[in-house]
Amino acid sequence: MSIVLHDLKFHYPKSPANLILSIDTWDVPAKEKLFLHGPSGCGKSTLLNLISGMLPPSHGEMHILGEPLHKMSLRQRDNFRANNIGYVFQQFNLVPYLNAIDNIQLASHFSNKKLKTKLTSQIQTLLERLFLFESDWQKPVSQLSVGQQQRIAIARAMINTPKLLIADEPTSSLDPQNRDKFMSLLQALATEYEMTLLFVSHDNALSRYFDRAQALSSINLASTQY
Amino acid sequence: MFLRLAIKSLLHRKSSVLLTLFAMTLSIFVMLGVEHLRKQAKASFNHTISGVDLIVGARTSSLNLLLYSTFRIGSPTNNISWASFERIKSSDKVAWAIPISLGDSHKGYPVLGTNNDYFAHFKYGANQSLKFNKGEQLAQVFDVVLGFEIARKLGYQLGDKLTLVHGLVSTSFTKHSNKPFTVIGILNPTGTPVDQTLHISLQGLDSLHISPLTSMSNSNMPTNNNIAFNSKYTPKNITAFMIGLQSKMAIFSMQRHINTDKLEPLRAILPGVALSELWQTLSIVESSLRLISLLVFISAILGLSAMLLSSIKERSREIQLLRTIGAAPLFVYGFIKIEAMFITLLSLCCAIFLLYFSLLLSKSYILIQYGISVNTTLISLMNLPEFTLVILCTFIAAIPASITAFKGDQ
Repeated sequence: MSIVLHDLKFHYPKSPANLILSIDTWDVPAKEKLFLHGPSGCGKSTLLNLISGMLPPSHGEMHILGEPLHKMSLRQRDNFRANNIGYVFQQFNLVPYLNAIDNIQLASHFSNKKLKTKLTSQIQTLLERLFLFESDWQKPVSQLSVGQQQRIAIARAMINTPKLLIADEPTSSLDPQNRDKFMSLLQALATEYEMTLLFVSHDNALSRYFDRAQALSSINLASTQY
Repeated sequence: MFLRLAIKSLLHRKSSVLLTLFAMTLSIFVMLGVEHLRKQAKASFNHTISGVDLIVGARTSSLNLLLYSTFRIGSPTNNISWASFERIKSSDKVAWAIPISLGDSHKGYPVLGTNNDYFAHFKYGANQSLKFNKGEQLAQVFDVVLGFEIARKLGYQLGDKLTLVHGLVSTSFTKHSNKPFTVIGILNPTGTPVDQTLHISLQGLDSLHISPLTSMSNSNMPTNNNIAFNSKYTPKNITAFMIGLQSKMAIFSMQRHINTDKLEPLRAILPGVALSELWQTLSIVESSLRLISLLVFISAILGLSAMLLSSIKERSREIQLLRTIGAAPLFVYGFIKIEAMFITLLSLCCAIFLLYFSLLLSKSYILIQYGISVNTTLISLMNLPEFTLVILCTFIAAIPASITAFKGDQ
């Protein structure tokens, strides 16, 4: 199992009455490509922040890739995330003033995998694989198109060969052509690297790319308002 | 990676960073400059004269007497008679006495009439005697011993002839070009007004002021041509004199004795006391300068703090991203801190560089105009407190922004 949640509850520390997430049990098997959908504001980002260890749960247990994340300290969670989880957002995936290579190196810098000798060739392979031309590698990413930036974001998320790849509405800012290109690349890479892919979107049309589709409202008991 | 990220991030926000850098550089420049000049002025001041127990002149304020006798600033209210000088010198409490006569100049530099006792007894700095760089002391009526600065500035060598003028301006109409003086000695640099002074004999000075008519009527005065040097020569008046006593214990009684002299109204001052009095009058200027430079610095630091804080607001995405890819909050905290430190260190370097060159350029001007010898050594243990203050203030100023970044999404 990649993700095992048990009796998980989350509320912000300042408002304990306002429960945002309440999940009885939820499992995601390893190597599964799961599509999780739901309207904005239903707790999708919160769930992803919990799984990636950005937020600690208020109650309950969560095992990510077999590790008890709910027992870890902030520092351990940061370290765990850097080493095991790849993350692609809707936008602002990259440090705008760094070039593609520096952005990817930065992600590698925070992980424990110190394969610095092979790093450059690894980055180059990934970038080529994602159809990014060598002429664009040294430009600050802010000068590249959104489609190119999202593909660099995949490379950034993949560089530490994470076992879990989380994608939070990564295609929302892309046009249909770029979106299809992005989706097929993501799928191909996830298969190739044997990763669990957790893909979150409000756009149900994307569910056709995935093994399984699930509505967050079906597992989140706190979202009665939806 | 850490430094590289910080530098690229700074470069990314060039305009606001440059403005902050400029403001910081300027304020550190002002602060260091004021501090440096203050210290230098004070040191230079206290080193102007030493080993002289009393300065005696016509009755005037002690500051005025000190200014014209030591700094050659302003003019004496009156001369004093040679008889008074002789009378006081003959007192058994007095070890030595140096007569001085002022009022003439050469190309804007003051001319001092004195005798060879001046070179023997006058001291400056930490009890240092005047030393000859080249040549020797006065031997002839028309000999002149130059201060180091004059010789260097005007390019005079031993044996050169120069003419002196009456009054203190360089373009005087009453040039005595028929009485050339010969350079017989050049003194070592002292960093005091001595460097800008031409020293001639009292006899030579008086000879500047006599017309052929008066020289015939007054047999005591030296005549124009081929005057023999007379070590026993006595002028009628001198401007002031400096005395050294046999015992320091006698200073105050001697001062009272001179101040209450029945035959001529005289004034005796203790150079050290007068110097600190003079420094006291400048202390308001000194402390307001310090206050202003401190305020300038504080405003620049606040500017830096505001710049950092607003940059955090516009960079919240970037910080969130760094956190997501695994940067610890402490990394983000340090990242903001290092940016602030980088700006300040760069400003500090720029300011020191700028100050060094402005001092280098204005050094001679300051020396000539204010008689302050400024050294250009800026990086010394003396300046450590200022440097520490700058770094410490930056550290504090960067705290709000760093904390904001540190907390970030938590």
